[in-house]
Amino acid sequence: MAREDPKGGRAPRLGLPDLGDGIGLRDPHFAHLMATDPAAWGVDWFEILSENFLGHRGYAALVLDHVAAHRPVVMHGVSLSIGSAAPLDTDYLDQLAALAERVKPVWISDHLCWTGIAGVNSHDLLPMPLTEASLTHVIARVHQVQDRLGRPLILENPSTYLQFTGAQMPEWEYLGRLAEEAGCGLLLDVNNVHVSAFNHGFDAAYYIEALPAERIVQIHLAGPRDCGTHLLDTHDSPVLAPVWALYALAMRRTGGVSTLLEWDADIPPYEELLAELGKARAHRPVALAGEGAHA
Amino acid sequence: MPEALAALQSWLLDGIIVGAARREAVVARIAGDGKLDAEGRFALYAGGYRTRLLETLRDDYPALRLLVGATVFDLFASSYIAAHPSRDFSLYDYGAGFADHLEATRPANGGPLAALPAAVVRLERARAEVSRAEGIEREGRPPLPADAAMRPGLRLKLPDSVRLLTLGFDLAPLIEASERGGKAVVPEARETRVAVARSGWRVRLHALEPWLHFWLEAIGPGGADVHEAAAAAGRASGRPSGALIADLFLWIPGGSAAGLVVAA
Repeated sequence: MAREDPKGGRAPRLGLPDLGDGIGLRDPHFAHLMATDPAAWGVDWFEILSENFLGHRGYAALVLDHVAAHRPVVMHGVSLSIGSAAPLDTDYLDQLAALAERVKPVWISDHLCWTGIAGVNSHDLLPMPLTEASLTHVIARVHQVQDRLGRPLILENPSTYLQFTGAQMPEWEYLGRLAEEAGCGLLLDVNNVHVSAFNHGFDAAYYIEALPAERIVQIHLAGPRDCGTHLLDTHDSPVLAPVWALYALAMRRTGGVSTLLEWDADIPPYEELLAELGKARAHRPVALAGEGAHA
Repeated sequence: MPEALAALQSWLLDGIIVGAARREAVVARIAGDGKLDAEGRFALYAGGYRTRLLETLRDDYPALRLLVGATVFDLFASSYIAAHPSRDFSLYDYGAGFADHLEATRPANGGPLAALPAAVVRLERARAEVSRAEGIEREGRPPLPADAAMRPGLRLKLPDSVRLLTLGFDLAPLIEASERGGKAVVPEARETRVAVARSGWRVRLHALEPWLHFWLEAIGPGGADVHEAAAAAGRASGRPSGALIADLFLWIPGGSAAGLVVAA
């Protein structure tokens, strides 16, 4: 049931729930999760990388079934290629729908990007040209995907390292219009905002202020790598102080949304991951207490 | 399809996969600044593509990397990446053709060891497939009894989580060293028949006598009558099928517990 916005506007988060604080379900933690009482897992929900489980019927599938029986699960993909000029991959969509039928995720997300064209896949989240024509193209494809999956799609802002010449709008405007016109939700990765803001020289706080807050369904937190001339979105380190500040801003703007700590390389022991997630828990009430003052 | 978008995306992806693009084309399409110019920004994506696929192959084929060392492995992998752009959304499937590539590109006068890398990759790929396949664990069926071999008309089959291979090397010590983080073991060159199977969610390697390999092949994933498969295996191995059935009497309980056969 969609929750009404107390301010009388549209329901926040597309009516989807605030799941609390979660982590990614990753292989190094499988043994811990299977051996530990779910009451002691210390997280409210899990996000899976959809591609890790498509067609998988081995131990990882057993762990996923166990986790899904005890916590809400969200499916997060990297291969939808929503921005590609190539036709949508119906085989991928079919597999995604089949996994969703089994896992019953609370929502399904991917990225505003393209990954390949002409049958070749880069396995990278390649940036979109920010033009009216590409926006029209992506809006149409989001509708197709939502029709196929029977639910709103949630799209994440990616980290980018290049922008094409001839851009007609900033990324925040592109995402906001996409969400409004396609009826999709947004997964706001505040670390990606920080990374792209550094790489392209824009104001990260302004980016977050400019997004339609009621469309933000989820937040990602992660740690990047400083390469001097640029930041790389590596998901291999603790969350940086400026990202926590952006997180607080995002929480104030949204009134609280599901938060997910991403850690995909040099994955620390489970308890260490929980300690980092604990920082998000500590930020949440402080940020929300300042909601009125900020607005 | 918007033509301008398709043209731009084709240009960028071609450049990423080749690893280079003409400077004037990069500068015309990508906005650079004083911190990082257009070529530097393009290079981040081109380098990322190669690194991502290289790391995928390193993760998928640890035993070959242990055997040949990091430098030679990266040469093998780079050759594969250059010849085979990824054509699937799944990185799991990217390395599926690595063994065939190594086989096709091995030196003609490299001696018997030249066939070793492809053999190792073939076995590692089979292990990966078995780890992801539908196994026997969820069904919780009890092992087949010994007298299953004596029941005329009983049909057995191989579960999806079984692969049969004939290799030119004994690779079991190398795989074991790779799993335990040990030192490389140079495999002995000799014909070896193995089954890769999963039970209790663990993937294991089983050495097979030729007659048993023939019998499991005759059983197959589609299933076959135990005695008809024994007759086929007898013809292939030169052993009387009655002797095979006697051996199967002893083998079937353990074989089914190891996830090698189930009732069809």
